[in-house]
Order: sequence, then structure tokens, then C-alpha cells
Amino acid sequence: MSDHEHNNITENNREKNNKPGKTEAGKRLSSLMAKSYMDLHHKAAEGAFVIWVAIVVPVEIFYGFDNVIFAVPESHAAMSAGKRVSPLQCEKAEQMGYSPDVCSYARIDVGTAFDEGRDSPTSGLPHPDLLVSNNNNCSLLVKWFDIYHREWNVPHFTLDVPFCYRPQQNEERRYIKEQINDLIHTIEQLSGQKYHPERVVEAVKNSSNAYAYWKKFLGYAAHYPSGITAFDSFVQMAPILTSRGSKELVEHYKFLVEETSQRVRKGIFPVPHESYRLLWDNIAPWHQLSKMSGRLAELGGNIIAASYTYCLGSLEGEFDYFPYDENTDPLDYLARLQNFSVCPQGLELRYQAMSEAIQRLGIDGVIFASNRSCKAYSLMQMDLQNRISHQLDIPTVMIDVDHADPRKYNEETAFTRIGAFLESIEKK
Amino acid sequence: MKDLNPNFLLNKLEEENVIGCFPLYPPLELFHAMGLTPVILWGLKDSVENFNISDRHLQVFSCSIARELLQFTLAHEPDFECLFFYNACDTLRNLPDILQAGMRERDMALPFIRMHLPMIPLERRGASAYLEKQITTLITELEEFTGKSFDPEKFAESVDLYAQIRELSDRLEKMVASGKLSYADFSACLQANYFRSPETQLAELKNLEDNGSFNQPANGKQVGVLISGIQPPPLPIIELIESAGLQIVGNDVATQRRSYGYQPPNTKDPVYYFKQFYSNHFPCPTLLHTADKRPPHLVRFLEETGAKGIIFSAEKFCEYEYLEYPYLEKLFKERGINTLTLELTASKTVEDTGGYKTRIEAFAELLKN
Repeated sequence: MSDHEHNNITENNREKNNKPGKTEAGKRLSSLMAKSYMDLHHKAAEGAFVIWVAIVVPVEIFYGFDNVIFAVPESHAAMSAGKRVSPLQCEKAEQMGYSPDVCSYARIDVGTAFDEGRDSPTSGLPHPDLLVSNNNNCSLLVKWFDIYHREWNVPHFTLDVPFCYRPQQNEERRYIKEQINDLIHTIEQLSGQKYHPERVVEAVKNSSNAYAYWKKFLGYAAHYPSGITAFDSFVQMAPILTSRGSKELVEHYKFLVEETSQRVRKGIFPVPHESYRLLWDNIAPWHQLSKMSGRLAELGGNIIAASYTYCLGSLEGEFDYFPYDENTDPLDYLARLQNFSVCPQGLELRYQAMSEAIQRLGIDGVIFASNRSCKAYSLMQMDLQNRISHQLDIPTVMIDVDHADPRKYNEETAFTRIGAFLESIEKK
Repeated sequence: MKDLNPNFLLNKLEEENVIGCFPLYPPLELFHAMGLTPVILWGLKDSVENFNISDRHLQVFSCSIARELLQFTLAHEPDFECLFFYNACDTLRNLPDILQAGMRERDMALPFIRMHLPMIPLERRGASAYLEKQITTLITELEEFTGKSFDPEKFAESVDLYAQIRELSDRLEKMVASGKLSYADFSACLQANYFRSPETQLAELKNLEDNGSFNQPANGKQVGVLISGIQPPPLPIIELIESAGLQIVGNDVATQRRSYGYQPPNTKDPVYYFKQFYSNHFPCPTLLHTADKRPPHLVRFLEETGAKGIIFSAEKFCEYEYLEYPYLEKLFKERGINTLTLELTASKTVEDTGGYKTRIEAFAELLKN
């Protein structure tokens, strides 16, 4: 996610593998993200209509307006954790009375928002004109956005998306689509801007094309040794959240694929002496990317894939790319994709996608990161772990993490477990 | 004060045709009209001995409600006809699949019936029609499951029965407020009622109305407070509150006022009834669409009851409630209302009440001065 973390990873690799440092795609990512946040502040200052969104909100519809921009508090929180300022921001929220048991993203965001963006790597986010949450990826986020709704008197629109114990049904898709139309109408009313549906077609095409490149990029994990690490995907996924629907996103991922392809052809691999091909289940531990990837590499381990990133561009329960059919209504596509992230999926769907990833990528073992800050992701992992271990007969381990609050993570405890886990793979 | 039997729930589940429901606000009237006895699986602390099975399926940073429900169902294998659930928080929506995995492991089999309750105002586009479809689908599923046809007359009778329960619960709360009944007895009765047939519930409430009493502490003046939480405090904590001279003049507890605080008009039409029921429900953080109503509602409630303070019975790891406290505290403080937050965990009993006692007494002193 963060540039700083990315630098650390690549420098680490340079030291260990005597390879060039930050990749060109890494440099492009830094520029893209910096420009994205600068544009956000600049356009907001110029009077753009600012919407804060949950990460799975169909932001492509915002491209249908002349001057609507969006900010993603979850992404900003992840970046703050990567830049190691999250404890400071969490503490600010805790001093306001927010329990340390509350999601660290929420605490970071609240701490930043009510301190006018101080200590933020991006000077915070511009003040919103509208908040758009949904309750499928993270229902807690609805309560989190309610804080701003109440404190700042900013309208709050919630997308009510049914949880997927089974693949999404037509009736659910229709319900979601109606709400997307309602959201469009709400933005028209609040912003006074006209909606141009043809522009949304372009934005959806861009997202779909970007996902196609994203899947190709992740596909280099199938190479032996893997052409990528999941840490690369954690870092590189950032613009999917902040720039989805844009041409820049497609261009960036096209470049990323080309560069990764070249590196593989040249025999440049992140963990050349890869002994253990691992899969990660949960949100990235943003404050640990560098350390964790480095220590794992020393042990011959490479987390080559993650449910957190392979779900992007897929339907619930699936591993493959789900393309946009240009002959169909883009809002149907957006509604159909509303459950792509792992959190709104039941056990069977999570198992289906993960078992597919394990088989396709030649995974040796799975690390389940039990994440105190994400109950939606975590509170099904114990049974998922049990099922993966027994039905696929591969070693697994569960470690305790918090995606953005390093005060709740113990590196030595985690690596004691990971060490034993790698031994169990070795014995198989 | 009544003493809760630790095996209370187990005994009571000798009721027949039980449908276990979670979370808090299922369509009870519909289940009852279809010949089922709905039991809300909430607050099972007195029915679980430990968490040895739950801990194999659910991380310890889950709330006690989820852990108790899982432990109870898997350990005791209650004789339910089926389980019903609708969506609420991130923890509870994951629970059905976790429960199913645990049941499979133990060769248990129970039919599951699910419903998605729209968490947006029904005035919003699509929401009303979607809820209507959910209710009609639920009726069809229940007809298939029970082998009985839906009978509007029976539905109206069930609505009437639950209306009486809610009305009587409201009356009893007023008795507590006026010092004629202890909140501990009131709370114990309502908690126990979760595991009784509605007919028995009504009888128990009437019995409490006729025979309940409260011996107010002899010394010191009484000060009115509200209790708020997803669950009421455990009885030992309630005793501490009442013995400190704090009179509970109202509650904003999910299993209490939030459950009986609104009763739709009687009708034979379940779709109309449940649209009214969920739209106008007493605000609760688990019903996301009621968020806007909650702060003014609580302020008005405080004014009506004349409460000088509010005690939050805070369920550890309940993020829905936790995310509301700072704003509510600020809101109340601006109105000169003091708040006390008591964090309660999944531990079996409140062994050490010392810490709570000190804080409750200090809070009482603050309010009295």
C-alpha cells in the first residue's frame, strides 16, 4: 500500500538478491498515488462535490458527473499504517472515547478526521459532501460513517447489500441496482450536477480492463519460483481503491504486467530460493509488510497469493476474472460485482475460491491471519482453516494480527508459529 | 429477587415446536401463527458452562452473545425444529455458517431459514418491495416446513398476543420507574421470558405485575437513571446499582424497551405489519436504518423520565454500540446528563464486583450532589 513500505520491500530484495531496487511499476505507483491525493485536495478546494466511500461502493457511477470526486477512508487508513503513523491516530480516537477494541481503520480515520488531517501522510481527506457506505463488506463501516454524519451533518447514503451464503441471486442484483440508481439520483439532487450515463460505460470498461491486467499480474504467482509476492499485490492494489474507473488505472496495470513479465523472463524473482509457496488469508498487515516479507524470505517462504487481492475482479466464490459485457447495462455489472470482496461471502464460497487458488498456484500452506480489527473477515477463519487443512490436506497456521494497529501485533509470537508451520510443510 | 436457575433455558426448551431465532427482532408473530414457538437466542450466559466448543470455532474477540449462542447450540444440541436468522452485525451474519460447520462436525442437522432485513429506510427505492418479497418468501418456506397454510386469522391472534406482552412490559417498566418494582426482578423476568412460549410470557408478566415489589434502600435519596445496552447488566450489577440509590426510571436495552417499545396496529396482513414493525421500531444500533432516530429519541426519553444519568451496559467487542458511545456521551453531557460505562465481558459470572461497586457508588454520589 504505502510507498515507504514498497521501498523497504524492494530494498530488502536488492540486498538479498542483488537485484535492482524499486521497480518502475513501483515508482509509477508512487506517482499515481501522490497525484491521486493531490488531485483530490486540489479539486475539492476548487469546489468539486466530495464523496467518502467504503471500498466496494461502485465508484464508476461518479464518472457520470462533471465534478464529483471520491475519497476512500479505508485506503487512507491503510496508508497511514504503512507509514507507521497509525498508533498516533488511533490514540487520538481513543482519547475521544473510542474503544481500542474498535477496528483500527475506523480509529485511524476518526483520529485523523477530527484532528484536521494532522499527522496524516496525505494531510487527511477533503471534507465530504456525502458519505456512501455499504453493509456487505463491512457493516461496522456504516456506524463509522454515522459518526461524521452526526458530527458534521453530512448526508449518509447506505447501500444495503445482502450477504452471500450462496452466489448472488437475480432478486438481490435487482435490489442492489435499484439502490445504485437511487444513489445516482441522490447525487444529482445534492450536487446539482447532471448525470451522463454514457460516461459510466467508459468507466466500467476501464475498471473491467484494469481487473483483466490485475488478474494477469497475479497470474505470475503460478510461476516457479513465483514472479511476485502477495506483498507486491498488497502494495499495488491501492489504486484499485482510489482510482477505479480511470484510464490511468488501466495504463498502470498494463505497465505492471509488462514489467513483471519481463522480470520473469529475465529470471528476476522476489524470492529466488523459494521453498514454500504460501497463501495469506485476510487484510494485509500494513505495518509489517517489509519485516514480514523479509523474514519469510530468509526462511525460504514466499506468500505468493492472498484472498484479499485475488478476490478483486472476481465474483463471490470464484477465482477467475469476471469481465464486463459491453452489450449490457453497466449498472448490472456493478451490482453483480458487489460481493467480490471476501467479507460478504459465506464459508462455502470462501472455500471454493481458496481451494481454486491453492490448486492453480501450487500452494504449500495457508497462513490465516486472525485480524482483531476485522471481524467480518476473521470470524469464519477457524472453520475455513479446518476445512482447508482436512479436505485439501495441506498445512495451515493461524496467527494473530491487526491490519493497522501495530500495538496489537507481536512479531515474535507470529514468527514462532510461522516457523513451526514451515517445518510442518517441510515434513510433508 | 428471583434467582435464575442455571439450567433455566434447558428446562424451558421442553416447549414443543421451538424455532431458535437470532438476532433480536425476528418476526415472532409469524412464527407463532404458523404453530411454532419462537425462542430468541440472546443472553445465554446462564445456559453455558464454558466456551470449550465455541473457542474451536470463534475467536475470543467475539462478543459474548455470539460465543454463548455457539457454545449453547453445539454443546447442548437443543431440540429445535429449526433455526432462523436475519442479518445484523459483522459477527452475527457470519455465525450461521460457523454454526453449520460446528453442527456438521457433531453430526447435528437442523434446517436453517434465513431472511435479509433491509437496513435502509423503507422509503428508499427498492427497499419496501424487497422486504415484501422477503416476508412472502419466508411465509412460503414456513408453510413448506410446517406443512400448514398461513392463516390470517391466526396471525392476527398472534399479533394480539405479542401486543399484550409488549404493553404489559411497558407497564412494568413504569412500575420500576415509580419504585413499585425492582429493576432486577423486571430484568430477570424479561430475560427468562425469552425462552418461554408467549402465552407463558404473558402469564409471568401478569404475575410480576400482581406480586412484584421493591424494597428501596432505607437511607439516602433516590436518583433516576437510564440503563442502555445490547443486554441488561448482570443481576449482581443491577443489585449494586439499585442499592446505591439509583432508581432505574427507564431503559434503552435491546432485550427490553428496544424490543417492546413499539407495537404496530393489529392486522391480518403480515407484509403490512412487518413493514410497520421494522420501519418504526424503537431505535437500536443493530437496525442500521434507525440511526438517525436514535439520538433525538434518547434525549426525549431522558427528558420524559427525568433521568439524571445514563449507565451504558457495554458489551465488550460490540462495535456497533462502541461506535455510538462517544457521540451519545457528548450529546448527554451538553444537556447536563452524566454517563457511566460499565464494560461487561463473556466471563461466566461477575465474580469481582468490587471495581464495579466503587464506580457505581461514585457515579451515584456524582448524581446526588
